[in-house]
Amino acid sequence: MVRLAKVRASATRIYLDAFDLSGSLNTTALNIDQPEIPIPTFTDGQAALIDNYRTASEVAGFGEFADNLIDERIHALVGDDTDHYLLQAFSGIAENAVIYEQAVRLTRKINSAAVGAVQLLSAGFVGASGLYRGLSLRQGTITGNGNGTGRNLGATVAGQVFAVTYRVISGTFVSFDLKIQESSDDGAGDAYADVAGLAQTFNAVGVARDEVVIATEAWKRVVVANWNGTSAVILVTAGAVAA
Amino acid sequence: MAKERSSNVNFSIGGTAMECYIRNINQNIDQPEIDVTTLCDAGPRSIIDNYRHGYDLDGFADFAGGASDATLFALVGDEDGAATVFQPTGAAAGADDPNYTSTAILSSYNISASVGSMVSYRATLRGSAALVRAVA
Repeated sequence: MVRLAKVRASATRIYLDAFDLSGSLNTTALNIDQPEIPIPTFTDGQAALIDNYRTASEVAGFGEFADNLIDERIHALVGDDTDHYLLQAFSGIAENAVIYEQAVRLTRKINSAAVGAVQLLSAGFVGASGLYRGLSLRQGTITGNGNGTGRNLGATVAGQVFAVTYRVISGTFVSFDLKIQESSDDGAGDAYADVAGLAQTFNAVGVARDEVVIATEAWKRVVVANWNGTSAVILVTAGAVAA
Repeated sequence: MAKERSSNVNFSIGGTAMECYIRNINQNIDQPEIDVTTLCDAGPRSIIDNYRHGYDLDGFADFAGGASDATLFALVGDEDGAATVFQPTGAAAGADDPNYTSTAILSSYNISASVGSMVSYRATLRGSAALVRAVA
């Protein structure tokens, strides 16, 4: 029997950069539009081309104004024209969960108050670089060097963009490296090896994104190296950018 | 985490406290996007233009001196606008109590009355200076 995998909305997790906003939000949407360019001919009246896609994302929930909570986190993007990274994990962030990740710009922030109600906050974002539908590749607390579990994200070909977003959410540490390794068969016969261009060094909480356009093998894993610290909570997602 | 009830909000225009005349208020910030996608981009590329901000208010109209109608009508024809302060927690600026300050001009002001209900107003203010989120 094939089990259908419907997901309740309460499983959803939303991260903006390294900040988990899930505790303040109760609604989110990812909108992908692909404008069509009709090219009807005498023999094919329905022919059309698809133009480059555009994305817009929305989040909504409760306004919370204490230090480092959602109002401050979103307001920091007002007037900011640099990349910020929005993770929409509709089925959660457990390793191997499907996620959507993109660089965004803030287009709208609304604070609302009405008699008899709690204060609300909503925000809108426009995609500012490639969206990927990928996997949560590694998630949880790390305490030293080591290899994560390999996951099959599918091989990519030369010219296809493969992206990784690394988040260090909290921790007590001096520094450590996160890097991506690849294998064609999860290390069964083809040993895992570093993917050039997919490595970051962290010496503080934060977020970083790498993109490569080289061919990559299907299985990837996250490796912690050069560990110097006590512990850190990390979340790493990866996937092929929709082109 | 501190969810905030709406009744905590303070809002003033030109130094006049307005929260006693407001039933709904939205602080709106919009950042127009400019599509800069080119033929070589894998996926969209956008940049952000300068933001705009403002407030939508509505409530029961109060025609007493210094109340909502006097305060809002004073902005009709006033191209300099008035200082606005939006305090979502109702407290002075602090680490956990942001105060949003700016200057705004009156964009629209509507008063309505219908049998069986109170005389009500709606107003839209448009920011005419930078919006500052003060936490100290």
